[in-house]
Amino acid sequence: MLKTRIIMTLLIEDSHLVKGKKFEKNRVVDTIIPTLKVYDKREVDELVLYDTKARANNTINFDKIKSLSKYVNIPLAYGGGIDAIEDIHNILRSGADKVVLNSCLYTDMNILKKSVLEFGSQCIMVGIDVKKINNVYHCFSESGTYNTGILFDDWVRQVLNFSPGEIILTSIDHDGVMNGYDLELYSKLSDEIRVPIIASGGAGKLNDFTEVLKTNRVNALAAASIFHFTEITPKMIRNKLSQEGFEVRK
Amino acid sequence: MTINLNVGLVDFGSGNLLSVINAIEQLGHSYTIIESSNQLQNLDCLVIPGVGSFNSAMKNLSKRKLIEPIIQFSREKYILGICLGMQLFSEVGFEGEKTFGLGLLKSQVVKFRGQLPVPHVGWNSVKLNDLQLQLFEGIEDNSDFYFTHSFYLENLSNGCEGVTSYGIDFPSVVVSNNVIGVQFHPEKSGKKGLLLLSNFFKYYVKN
Repeated sequence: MLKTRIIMTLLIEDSHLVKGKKFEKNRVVDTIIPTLKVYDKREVDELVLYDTKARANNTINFDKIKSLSKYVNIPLAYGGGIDAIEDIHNILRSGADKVVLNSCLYTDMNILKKSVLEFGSQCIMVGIDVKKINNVYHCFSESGTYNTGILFDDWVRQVLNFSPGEIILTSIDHDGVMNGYDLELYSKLSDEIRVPIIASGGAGKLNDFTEVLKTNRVNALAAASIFHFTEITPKMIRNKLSQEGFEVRK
Repeated sequence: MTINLNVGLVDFGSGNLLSVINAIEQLGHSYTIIESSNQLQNLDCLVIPGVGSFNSAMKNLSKRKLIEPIIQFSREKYILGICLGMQLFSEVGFEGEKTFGLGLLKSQVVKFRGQLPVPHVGWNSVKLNDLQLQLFEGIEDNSDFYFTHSFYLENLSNGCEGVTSYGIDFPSVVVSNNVIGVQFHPEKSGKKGLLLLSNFFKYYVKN
Protein backbone atom coordinates (compact mmCIF):
# COMPACT_ATOMS: atom_id res chain seq x y z
CA MET A 1 0.00 0.00 0.00
CA LEU A 2 1.24 3.46 -0.89
CA LYS A 3 2.12 5.72 1.99
CA THR A 4 0.91 9.26 2.60
CA ARG A 5 3.76 11.48 1.50
CA ILE A 6 5.05 14.56 3.28
CA ILE A 7 6.48 16.96 0.75
CA MET A 8 8.52 20.07 1.36
CA THR A 9 8.12 22.88 -1.12
CA LEU A 10 11.06 25.21 -1.51
CA LEU A 11 10.88 28.55 -3.26
CA ILE A 12 14.23 29.60 -4.59
CA GLU A 13 15.23 33.09 -5.51
CA ASP A 14 18.82 33.43 -6.58
CA SER A 15 20.78 31.50 -3.96
CA HIS A 16 18.19 31.86 -1.21
CA LEU A 17 15.02 30.22 -0.09
CA VAL A 18 12.10 32.57 0.24
CA LYS A 19 8.60 32.31 1.59
CA GLY A 20 5.71 34.73 1.55
CA LYS A 21 2.01 34.85 2.29
CA LYS A 22 -0.70 34.34 -0.31
CA PHE A 23 2.02 34.24 -3.00
CA GLU A 24 3.18 37.75 -2.10
CA LYS A 25 5.85 39.50 -0.05
CA ASN A 26 8.44 36.77 -0.35
CA ARG A 27 11.22 37.16 2.15
CA VAL A 28 14.47 35.29 2.57
CA VAL A 29 14.14 32.48 5.09
CA ASP A 30 17.20 30.30 4.55
CA THR A 31 20.11 29.40 2.34
CA ILE A 32 19.37 26.59 -0.04
CA ILE A 33 22.02 23.93 0.36
CA PRO A 34 22.07 23.66 4.18
CA THR A 35 18.27 23.41 4.16
CA LEU A 36 18.30 20.70 1.50
CA LYS A 37 20.79 18.71 3.52
CA VAL A 38 18.74 19.07 6.70
CA TYR A 39 15.51 17.92 5.10
CA ASP A 40 17.16 15.09 3.21
CA LYS A 41 18.52 13.93 6.57
CA ARG A 42 15.21 14.50 8.36
CA GLU A 43 13.62 12.25 5.78
CA VAL A 44 10.93 14.35 4.29
CA ASP A 45 9.45 12.10 1.56
CA GLU A 46 9.88 14.39 -1.40
CA LEU A 47 11.02 17.88 -2.36
CA VAL A 48 9.43 20.31 -4.79
CA LEU A 49 11.63 23.17 -5.88
CA TYR A 50 10.13 26.27 -7.46
CA ASP A 51 12.27 28.92 -9.06
CA THR A 52 10.11 31.99 -8.52
CA LYS A 53 12.08 34.16 -10.94
CA ALA A 54 12.48 31.68 -13.79
CA ARG A 55 9.42 32.80 -15.73
CA ALA A 56 10.04 36.51 -15.30
CA ASN A 57 13.70 36.05 -16.25
CA ASN A 58 12.69 33.76 -19.09
CA THR A 59 15.39 31.29 -18.17
CA ILE A 60 15.69 28.01 -16.30
CA ASN A 61 18.86 27.59 -14.32
CA PHE A 62 19.80 23.99 -15.18
CA ASP A 63 23.20 24.28 -13.49
CA LYS A 64 21.50 25.19 -10.24
CA ILE A 65 19.15 22.19 -10.46
CA LYS A 66 22.17 20.01 -11.16
CA SER A 67 24.16 21.31 -8.23
CA LEU A 68 21.20 21.06 -5.83
CA SER A 69 20.23 17.54 -6.89
CA LYS A 70 23.62 16.35 -5.63
CA TYR A 71 22.44 16.80 -2.06
CA VAL A 72 19.16 14.98 -2.41
CA ASN A 73 18.54 11.23 -2.18
CA ILE A 74 14.79 11.50 -2.34
CA PRO A 75 12.50 12.40 -5.23
CA LEU A 76 12.99 15.96 -6.44
CA ALA A 77 10.53 17.91 -8.57
CA TYR A 78 11.23 21.23 -10.28
CA GLY A 79 8.81 23.94 -11.37
CA GLY A 80 9.28 27.39 -12.87
CA GLY A 81 9.60 28.81 -16.35
CA ILE A 82 8.95 25.60 -18.27
CA ASP A 83 7.72 26.27 -21.80
CA ALA A 84 8.96 23.43 -23.97
CA ILE A 85 9.57 19.70 -24.12
CA GLU A 86 13.27 20.52 -24.43
CA ASP A 87 13.14 22.27 -21.04
CA ILE A 88 11.70 19.15 -19.42
CA HIS A 89 14.35 16.97 -21.02
CA ASN A 90 17.09 19.23 -19.67
CA ILE A 91 15.56 19.45 -16.19
CA LEU A 92 15.38 15.66 -15.92
CA ARG A 93 18.95 15.41 -17.22
CA SER A 94 19.96 17.87 -14.50
CA GLY A 95 18.95 15.43 -11.78
CA ALA A 96 15.30 16.24 -11.09
CA ASP A 97 12.88 13.33 -11.15
CA LYS A 98 9.74 15.24 -12.01
CA VAL A 99 8.63 18.59 -13.34
CA VAL A 100 5.70 20.78 -12.36
CA LEU A 101 3.83 22.29 -15.31
CA ASN A 102 1.58 25.22 -14.51
CA SER A 103 1.48 28.61 -16.28
CA CYS A 104 2.53 27.27 -19.68
CA LEU A 105 -0.55 25.03 -19.85
CA TYR A 106 -2.91 28.00 -20.01
CA THR A 107 -1.46 28.96 -23.37
CA ASP A 108 -0.57 25.50 -24.67
CA MET A 109 -2.04 22.30 -23.28
CA ASN A 110 -0.11 20.38 -25.91
CA ILE A 111 3.03 20.40 -23.80
CA LEU A 112 1.22 18.26 -21.22
CA LYS A 113 0.07 15.75 -23.80
CA LYS A 114 3.49 15.56 -25.44
CA SER A 115 5.47 15.35 -22.22
CA VAL A 116 3.33 12.55 -20.80
CA LEU A 117 3.93 10.59 -23.99
CA GLU A 118 7.62 11.28 -24.11
CA PHE A 119 8.66 11.04 -20.46
CA GLY A 120 5.81 9.08 -18.89
CA SER A 121 3.13 10.43 -16.59
CA GLN A 122 5.15 9.47 -13.50
CA CYS A 123 7.41 12.50 -13.97
CA ILE A 124 4.80 15.04 -15.02
CA MET A 125 3.04 16.95 -12.25
CA VAL A 126 0.52 19.69 -12.92
CA GLY A 127 0.47 22.64 -10.57
CA ILE A 128 -2.86 24.42 -10.14
CA ASP A 129 -3.06 27.60 -8.07
CA VAL A 130 -6.53 28.70 -7.11
CA LYS A 131 -8.13 31.64 -5.36
CA LYS A 132 -11.72 31.89 -4.21
CA ILE A 133 -13.61 34.81 -5.78
CA ASN A 134 -17.32 35.17 -5.06
CA ASN A 135 -17.36 31.68 -3.65
CA VAL A 136 -15.95 30.09 -6.81
CA TYR A 137 -12.39 28.85 -7.28
CA HIS A 138 -10.53 30.59 -10.11
CA CYS A 139 -7.24 29.43 -11.59
CA PHE A 140 -4.31 31.80 -11.42
CA SER A 141 -1.08 31.63 -13.41
CA GLU A 142 2.30 33.41 -13.33
CA SER A 143 2.93 32.68 -9.63
CA GLY A 144 -0.56 33.77 -8.67
CA THR A 145 -0.36 37.19 -10.32
CA TYR A 146 -2.68 36.60 -13.25
CA ASN A 147 -6.33 35.54 -13.09
CA THR A 148 -6.80 33.23 -16.06
CA GLY A 149 -10.58 33.60 -15.80
CA ILE A 150 -10.80 29.83 -15.91
CA LEU A 151 -12.77 28.08 -13.19
CA PHE A 152 -11.02 25.32 -11.31
CA ASP A 153 -13.67 22.68 -11.98
CA ASP A 154 -13.40 23.20 -15.73
CA TRP A 155 -9.62 23.33 -15.70
CA VAL A 156 -9.06 20.17 -13.69
CA ARG A 157 -11.33 18.28 -16.09
CA GLN A 158 -9.25 19.48 -19.07
CA VAL A 159 -5.99 18.65 -17.37
CA LEU A 160 -7.11 15.14 -16.45
CA ASN A 161 -7.80 14.38 -20.12
CA PHE A 162 -4.05 14.22 -20.63
CA SER A 163 -3.23 11.92 -17.69
CA PRO A 164 -0.60 13.79 -15.67
CA GLY A 165 1.06 11.76 -12.93
CA GLU A 166 -0.25 13.95 -10.13
CA ILE A 167 -1.72 17.34 -9.37
CA ILE A 168 -0.35 19.75 -6.81
CA LEU A 169 -3.29 21.92 -5.86
CA THR A 170 -2.46 25.11 -3.99
CA SER A 171 -4.85 27.49 -2.32
CA ILE A 172 -3.39 30.97 -2.76
CA ASP A 173 -5.59 32.33 0.07
CA HIS A 174 -4.18 29.80 2.50
CA ASP A 175 -0.56 29.92 1.31
CA GLY A 176 1.87 30.94 4.05
CA VAL A 177 -0.93 31.81 6.48
CA MET A 178 -0.34 28.63 8.52
CA ASN A 179 -3.96 28.40 9.51
CA GLY A 180 -4.77 25.02 7.98
CA TYR A 181 -5.35 23.71 4.47
CA ASP A 182 -8.38 24.86 2.49
CA LEU A 183 -10.64 22.00 3.53
CA GLU A 184 -13.50 23.22 1.37
CA LEU A 185 -11.36 23.10 -1.77
CA TYR A 186 -10.18 19.53 -1.23
CA SER A 187 -13.40 18.05 0.13
CA LYS A 188 -15.24 19.20 -3.00
CA LEU A 189 -12.90 17.27 -5.32
CA SER A 190 -14.72 14.62 -7.29
CA ASP A 191 -14.08 11.09 -6.12
CA GLU A 192 -13.74 10.15 -9.76
CA ILE A 193 -10.32 11.82 -9.86
CA ARG A 194 -7.87 8.94 -9.77
CA VAL A 195 -4.72 11.00 -10.17
CA PRO A 196 -2.94 11.61 -6.85
CA ILE A 197 -3.73 15.04 -5.40
CA ILE A 198 -1.14 16.90 -3.35
CA ALA A 199 -2.65 19.41 -0.93
CA SER A 200 -0.63 22.61 -0.65
CA GLY A 201 -1.01 25.84 1.27
CA GLY A 202 -1.77 26.50 4.89
CA ALA A 203 -0.13 23.85 7.06
CA GLY A 204 0.84 25.43 10.37
CA LYS A 205 0.32 22.75 13.02
CA LEU A 206 0.21 18.96 13.25
CA ASN A 207 -3.56 18.82 13.25
CA ASP A 208 -3.76 20.53 9.86
CA PHE A 209 -2.27 17.49 8.15
CA THR A 210 -4.75 15.02 9.58
CA GLU A 211 -7.69 17.37 8.99
CA VAL A 212 -7.04 17.59 5.25
CA LEU A 213 -6.42 13.85 4.98
CA LYS A 214 -9.82 13.23 6.52
CA THR A 215 -11.41 14.76 3.41
CA ASN A 216 -10.34 11.46 1.78
CA ARG A 217 -9.47 13.35 -1.37
CA VAL A 218 -5.76 14.02 -1.01
CA ASN A 219 -2.85 11.60 -1.24
CA ALA A 220 0.06 13.76 -0.24
CA LEU A 221 0.76 16.81 1.89
CA ALA A 222 2.95 19.69 0.83
CA ALA A 223 4.16 22.31 3.27
CA ALA A 224 6.79 25.03 3.53
CA SER A 225 6.23 27.63 6.26
CA ILE A 226 5.76 25.02 8.97
CA PHE A 227 9.28 23.77 8.25
CA HIS A 228 10.81 27.24 7.96
CA PHE A 229 9.11 28.86 10.94
CA THR A 230 8.30 26.15 13.49
CA GLU A 231 10.14 23.33 15.21
CA ILE A 232 7.88 20.72 13.63
CA THR A 233 9.81 18.03 11.73
CA PRO A 234 8.71 15.48 9.11
CA LYS A 235 9.10 12.81 11.76
CA MET A 236 6.66 14.54 14.10
CA ILE A 237 4.15 14.78 11.25
CA ARG A 238 4.63 11.10 10.44
CA ASN A 239 4.06 10.15 14.07
CA LYS A 240 0.91 12.21 14.21
CA LEU A 241 -0.45 10.66 11.00
CA SER A 242 0.44 7.20 12.17
CA GLN A 243 -1.38 7.74 15.48
CA GLU A 244 -4.50 8.70 13.56
CA GLY A 245 -4.36 5.59 11.41
CA PHE A 246 -2.76 6.92 8.23
CA GLU A 247 0.00 4.82 6.67
CA VAL A 248 3.35 6.60 6.51
CA ARG A 249 6.83 5.71 5.37
CA LYS A 250 8.98 3.62 7.66
CA MET B 1 37.53 0.71 4.83
CA THR B 2 35.63 1.05 1.60
CA ILE B 3 37.43 -0.13 -1.46
CA ASN B 4 37.00 2.20 -4.37
CA LEU B 5 35.15 0.27 -7.07
CA ASN B 6 34.79 1.01 -10.73
CA VAL B 7 31.06 0.78 -11.33
CA GLY B 8 29.81 0.54 -14.90
CA LEU B 9 26.64 2.50 -15.67
CA VAL B 10 24.51 1.90 -18.72
CA ASP B 11 23.07 5.16 -20.06
CA PHE B 12 19.85 5.11 -22.06
CA GLY B 13 20.06 8.78 -22.84
CA SER B 14 17.17 9.95 -20.71
CA GLY B 15 16.15 10.19 -17.11
CA ASN B 16 17.75 9.61 -13.82
CA LEU B 17 21.37 8.71 -14.53
CA LEU B 18 22.58 11.65 -12.46
CA SER B 19 20.77 10.49 -9.31
CA VAL B 20 22.50 7.13 -9.55
CA ILE B 21 25.86 8.81 -10.15
CA ASN B 22 25.30 11.02 -7.08
CA ALA B 23 24.62 7.95 -4.94
CA ILE B 24 27.68 6.06 -6.25
CA GLU B 25 29.87 9.07 -5.55
CA GLN B 26 28.44 9.53 -2.06
CA LEU B 27 29.39 5.92 -1.34
CA GLY B 28 32.96 6.65 -2.40
CA HIS B 29 33.09 4.73 -5.67
CA SER B 30 34.02 5.69 -9.21
CA TYR B 31 31.90 5.11 -12.26
CA THR B 32 32.28 4.59 -15.99
CA ILE B 33 29.44 5.34 -18.37
CA ILE B 34 29.19 2.42 -20.75
CA GLU B 35 28.82 3.39 -24.39
CA SER B 36 30.40 0.32 -25.97
CA SER B 37 31.26 -3.27 -25.06
CA ASN B 38 35.04 -2.83 -24.73
CA GLN B 39 34.41 -0.63 -21.67
CA LEU B 40 33.01 -3.61 -19.76
CA GLN B 41 36.43 -5.16 -19.23
CA ASN B 42 37.75 -3.24 -16.27
CA LEU B 43 34.58 -2.98 -14.25
CA ASP B 44 33.93 -4.41 -10.81
CA CYS B 45 30.19 -4.51 -11.35
CA LEU B 46 27.52 -3.10 -13.61
CA VAL B 47 24.45 -1.00 -12.76
CA ILE B 48 21.58 -0.60 -15.20
CA PRO B 49 19.46 2.31 -13.99
CA GLY B 50 16.06 2.67 -15.41
CA VAL B 51 13.82 5.31 -16.73
CA GLY B 52 12.30 4.97 -20.16
CA SER B 53 10.44 2.21 -21.94
CA PHE B 54 11.38 -1.46 -22.33
CA ASN B 55 11.20 -1.33 -26.09
CA SER B 56 13.34 1.77 -26.56
CA ALA B 57 15.88 0.59 -23.98
CA MET B 58 16.40 -2.77 -25.71
CA LYS B 59 16.68 -1.04 -29.08
CA ASN B 60 19.26 1.25 -27.59
CA LEU B 61 21.30 -1.68 -26.20
CA SER B 62 21.02 -3.47 -29.51
CA LYS B 63 22.17 -0.45 -31.48
CA ARG B 64 25.26 -0.19 -29.31
CA LYS B 65 25.90 -3.95 -29.57
CA LEU B 66 25.70 -4.32 -25.81
CA ILE B 67 23.19 -7.15 -25.44
CA GLU B 68 25.55 -10.15 -25.79
CA PRO B 69 28.41 -8.47 -23.86
CA ILE B 70 26.07 -7.71 -20.91
CA ILE B 71 24.83 -11.32 -20.85
CA GLN B 72 28.45 -12.47 -20.93
CA PHE B 73 29.35 -10.02 -18.14
CA SER B 74 26.58 -11.47 -15.94
CA ARG B 75 28.25 -14.88 -16.06
CA GLU B 76 31.36 -13.45 -14.42
CA LYS B 77 30.32 -10.47 -12.33
CA TYR B 78 27.30 -8.96 -10.63
CA ILE B 79 24.77 -6.71 -12.34
CA LEU B 80 22.27 -4.54 -10.49
CA GLY B 81 19.15 -3.56 -12.41
CA ILE B 82 17.08 -0.69 -11.06
CA CYS B 83 13.41 -0.34 -12.07
CA LEU B 84 13.38 -0.67 -15.88
CA GLY B 85 16.94 -2.00 -15.56
CA MET B 86 15.60 -4.97 -13.59
CA GLN B 87 12.73 -5.46 -16.03
CA LEU B 88 15.20 -5.75 -18.92
CA PHE B 89 16.56 -8.94 -17.31
CA SER B 90 13.30 -10.65 -18.32
CA GLU B 91 12.75 -12.77 -21.38
CA VAL B 92 10.10 -10.54 -22.87
CA GLY B 93 8.42 -7.20 -22.25
CA PHE B 94 5.14 -5.76 -23.44
CA GLU B 95 5.79 -2.03 -23.07
CA GLY B 96 5.46 -0.32 -26.44
CA GLU B 97 5.39 -3.55 -28.42
CA LYS B 98 6.38 -7.12 -27.59
CA THR B 99 10.15 -6.99 -27.19
CA PHE B 100 12.73 -9.59 -26.19
CA GLY B 101 14.74 -8.71 -23.10
CA LEU B 102 18.13 -9.91 -21.89
CA GLY B 103 16.67 -13.27 -20.85
CA LEU B 104 18.61 -13.48 -17.59
CA LEU B 105 15.42 -14.06 -15.59
CA LYS B 106 12.54 -16.31 -16.50
CA SER B 107 9.74 -13.78 -16.39
CA GLN B 108 7.80 -11.36 -18.51
CA VAL B 109 7.11 -7.69 -18.03
CA VAL B 110 3.46 -6.68 -18.06
CA LYS B 111 1.41 -3.62 -17.15
CA PHE B 112 -0.57 -3.30 -13.91
CA ARG B 113 -4.20 -4.22 -14.44
CA GLY B 114 -6.99 -3.55 -12.02
CA GLN B 115 -8.49 -0.59 -10.27
CA LEU B 116 -5.54 1.22 -8.75
CA PRO B 117 -4.02 4.24 -10.49
CA VAL B 118 -1.11 3.54 -12.81
CA PRO B 119 1.77 4.39 -12.63
CA HIS B 120 2.44 3.08 -9.16
CA VAL B 121 4.27 6.10 -7.73
CA GLY B 122 5.38 6.68 -4.19
CA TRP B 123 6.70 4.99 -1.08
CA ASN B 124 5.72 1.38 -0.62
CA SER B 125 7.01 -1.42 1.55
CA VAL B 126 9.11 -4.45 0.65
CA LYS B 127 8.35 -7.77 2.32
CA LEU B 128 11.41 -9.97 2.35
CA ASN B 129 11.41 -13.73 1.86
CA ASP B 130 14.73 -14.17 3.60
CA LEU B 131 15.51 -11.87 6.50
CA GLN B 132 19.19 -12.77 6.20
CA LEU B 133 19.50 -11.43 2.66
CA GLN B 134 22.80 -9.53 2.51
CA LEU B 135 21.39 -6.89 0.19
CA PHE B 136 19.11 -5.85 3.08
CA GLU B 137 21.64 -5.99 5.88
CA GLY B 138 20.69 -3.30 8.41
CA ILE B 139 17.32 -2.67 6.75
CA GLU B 140 14.20 -3.94 8.55
CA ASP B 141 11.57 -6.05 6.85
CA ASN B 142 8.64 -4.03 5.45
CA SER B 143 10.76 -0.89 4.99
CA ASP B 144 9.49 1.61 2.44
CA PHE B 145 11.24 2.46 -0.80
CA TYR B 146 10.40 4.85 -3.62
CA PHE B 147 8.66 3.30 -6.63
CA THR B 148 7.66 4.80 -9.95
CA HIS B 149 6.57 2.32 -12.63
CA SER B 150 3.63 0.98 -14.62
CA PHE B 151 5.02 -2.46 -15.46
CA TYR B 152 6.14 -5.34 -13.29
CA LEU B 153 7.65 -8.84 -13.49
CA GLU B 154 5.07 -11.57 -13.94
CA ASN B 155 5.58 -15.34 -13.72
CA LEU B 156 9.06 -15.00 -12.27
CA SER B 157 10.20 -18.60 -11.91
CA ASN B 158 12.94 -18.13 -9.32
CA GLY B 159 15.01 -15.54 -7.49
CA CYS B 160 12.18 -13.52 -5.96
CA GLU B 161 13.53 -12.25 -2.64
CA GLY B 162 11.04 -9.50 -1.85
CA VAL B 163 7.50 -8.56 -2.80
CA THR B 164 5.45 -5.39 -2.73
CA SER B 165 1.67 -5.07 -2.79
CA TYR B 166 -0.16 -2.82 -5.17
CA GLY B 167 -3.42 -4.49 -6.00
CA ILE B 168 -1.37 -7.64 -6.49
CA ASP B 169 1.89 -8.83 -4.95
CA PHE B 170 4.72 -8.29 -7.41
CA PRO B 171 8.46 -9.05 -7.16
CA SER B 172 10.30 -5.96 -5.95
CA VAL B 173 13.64 -7.64 -5.15
CA VAL B 174 15.26 -10.35 -7.24
CA VAL B 175 18.53 -12.17 -6.63
CA SER B 176 19.38 -14.88 -9.13
CA ASN B 177 23.01 -15.94 -9.50
CA ASN B 178 24.83 -12.75 -10.45
CA VAL B 179 21.70 -10.88 -11.38
CA ILE B 180 20.25 -8.51 -8.78
CA GLY B 181 17.17 -6.42 -9.45
CA VAL B 182 15.09 -3.94 -7.51
CA GLN B 183 11.84 -2.53 -8.84
CA PHE B 184 12.15 0.60 -6.67
CA HIS B 185 14.73 3.38 -6.85
CA PRO B 186 17.33 2.95 -4.08
CA GLU B 187 19.04 6.14 -5.25
CA LYS B 188 15.81 8.01 -4.36
CA SER B 189 14.88 6.11 -1.22
CA GLY B 190 16.76 8.13 1.37
CA LYS B 191 19.05 6.49 3.91
CA LYS B 192 17.73 2.96 3.44
CA GLY B 193 18.19 3.19 -0.30
CA LEU B 194 21.80 4.27 0.11
CA LEU B 195 22.34 1.45 2.58
CA LEU B 196 21.01 -1.06 0.06
CA LEU B 197 23.38 0.25 -2.61
CA SER B 198 26.22 0.14 -0.14
CA ASN B 199 25.35 -3.51 0.65
CA PHE B 200 25.35 -4.30 -3.06
CA PHE B 201 28.85 -2.88 -3.45
CA LYS B 202 29.98 -4.69 -0.29
CA TYR B 203 28.57 -8.17 -0.87
CA TYR B 204 27.91 -8.50 -4.56
CA VAL B 205 31.22 -7.56 -6.06
CA LYS B 206 33.76 -10.19 -6.94
CA ASN B 207 37.37 -9.21 -6.59
